[in-house]
Amino acid sequence: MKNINVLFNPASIAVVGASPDVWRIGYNILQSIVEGCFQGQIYLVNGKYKQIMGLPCYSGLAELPVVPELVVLAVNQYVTVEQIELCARLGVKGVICSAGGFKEMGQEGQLLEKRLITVAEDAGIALVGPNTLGLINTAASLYATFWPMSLNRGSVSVISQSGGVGLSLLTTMQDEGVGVSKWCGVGNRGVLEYADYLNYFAEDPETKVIGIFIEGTDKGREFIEAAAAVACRKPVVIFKAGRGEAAAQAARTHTGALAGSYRLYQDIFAQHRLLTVDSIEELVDILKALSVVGQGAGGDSIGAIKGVGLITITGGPAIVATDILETAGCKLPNLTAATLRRVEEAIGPNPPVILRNPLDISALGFMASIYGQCALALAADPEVDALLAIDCHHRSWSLPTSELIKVQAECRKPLVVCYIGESQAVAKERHRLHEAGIPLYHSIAAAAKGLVALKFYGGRE
Amino acid sequence: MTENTTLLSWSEAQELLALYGVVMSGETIVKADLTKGAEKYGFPLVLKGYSTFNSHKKEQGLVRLGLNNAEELTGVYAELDALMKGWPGQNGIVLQPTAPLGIELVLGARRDQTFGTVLMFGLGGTLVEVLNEVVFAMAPLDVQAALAMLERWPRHRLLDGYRGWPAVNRQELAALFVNLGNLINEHVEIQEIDLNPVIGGPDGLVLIDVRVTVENCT
Repeated sequence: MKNINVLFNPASIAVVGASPDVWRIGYNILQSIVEGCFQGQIYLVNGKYKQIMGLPCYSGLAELPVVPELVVLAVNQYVTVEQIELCARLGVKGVICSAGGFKEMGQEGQLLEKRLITVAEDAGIALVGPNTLGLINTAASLYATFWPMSLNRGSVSVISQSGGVGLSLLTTMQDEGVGVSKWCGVGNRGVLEYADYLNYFAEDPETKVIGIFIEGTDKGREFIEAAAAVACRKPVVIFKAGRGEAAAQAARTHTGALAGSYRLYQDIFAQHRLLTVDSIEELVDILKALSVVGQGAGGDSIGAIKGVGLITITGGPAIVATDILETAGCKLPNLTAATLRRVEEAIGPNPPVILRNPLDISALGFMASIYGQCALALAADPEVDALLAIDCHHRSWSLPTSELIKVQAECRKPLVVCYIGESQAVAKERHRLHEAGIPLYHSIAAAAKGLVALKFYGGRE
Repeated sequence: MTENTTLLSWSEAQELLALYGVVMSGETIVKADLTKGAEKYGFPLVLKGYSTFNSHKKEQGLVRLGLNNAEELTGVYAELDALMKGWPGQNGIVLQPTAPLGIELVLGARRDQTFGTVLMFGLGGTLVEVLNEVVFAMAPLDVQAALAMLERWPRHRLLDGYRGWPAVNRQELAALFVNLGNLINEHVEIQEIDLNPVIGGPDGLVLIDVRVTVENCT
């Protein structure tokens, strides 16, 4: 596996170019690793200092008491190449190269990168980057980036060609209560390609779902074949950017990659049954559904979804959601007589609503207990394989969170909830629902798309 | 076409495709065989000048449709022959039966920098560049994957027949893609194969024109 495991689970780390100057990357990587509470050994390397942050500083990698498993290079491109040669001699297994100035910067950079790659490959070094923010493994409390942060642990692993987009993904996931397993900024992909990270995440027991941001790669075929193989076992969701000429140019100067024809990418993703999205937000919405569902009671894998049940207390959102569901090929089946009887028992005889799917119980559903009974009836219907429940946050009334958790525990079918309301107002509900394996959304469209993603990858295993 | 690539002549292209069971309509013909050719295909006939030097045949008056008798045939043959005299590259005159009416399709295969061998399918004819409604797939394909590619084409309902156009046999079309994919995969010198148009007629697909671009041997 090309030593990739050492990158994410090193016993020891050396930061070359460690610095006490808060404006230098060498400071921030160190801070990120220390404050992230990494449990292994941390070594600092910088000939100019005796001590940084109270930790001893060594004059060179060769002076360390041990050969570190992972070396993070926080030095410029020229020193990076010198240091990788030293790493090769010492027998270092993993290196993160933060510096830019390689193939994305013309001929001189290309030569430097070529040298870097040759040395790393000959020595069997797993090299991340160059031109990368770094990587994260929450389970190992490893935050080897120069953007200190702390994240919720979870089962989503992310491969991003861009540090900035990767960062945006992480913060959005954090806001949306989606936990992270591993994250990697692949940078110029000098040595390790998408396919390598994908194959590693495929085997990684802590990774349940994989999200990818890609600008472009010249190894498109390898990427697609790896992604298609992995997607038979774990959901893979891809955001490919770079549609037009200007975007393609930006991609080239960013990580030196050919953006390739956007259309070609999209068609080839579809050919290989890979799920694609058009934005960071949509990527997070979908990663949420795929990672949260099944993480609760029993950790069930997602089964095949044909029919979707929809319950709401207001009609409009059901139409919005149904549009998205139907376009994606989700059927909203007719409910059986037994289900209708159960709904009627919950809401009383001769109800002023039409009993069908989507089920709009209107004001009758304002009471959480009644909403819960109706949701349970719907979820229990043999034609319903997954349930979308829509409700609205109200200052004086409680939401049917406990009831929906019971529905999920009883029916064991994927359940997606949309609480229309401010993010803050439903933060507690989100936490409880996610713990129970029920993804919560505030956006109606996002909830529907989450369910569509469950259908897309459901029943593959 | 660039400096490093060449077009195959009609007969080279035809022979290559035939190795993979892909059959072009008609054949290149010399003056002495015109009568024989006319008997084989029957009037009305089509003659076209095929040049590796000039790929815009229509604009140059190199495609001559609706030749109804031996006299027209020999006359047009002589005109084309004179027109192409002295042109560089490989030139030939192709005799074809008149194509049936049907939906005009385009099939392509090419070597892509990112994905390697790639297949393309779409609507042929003059609107193709505006509509830009094509579908791509990575080659090679098996029959199932080729059929799936056709279903991903945004206008796949046109294959069911539309306003008097005959329906296109999806199995036949899929088989063509399987062969085309194998061909480009097994011939690394080929940069691009362009079958345009392919007509979906009442008796199946008719391959009217072809361009095969190959990398020059150095």
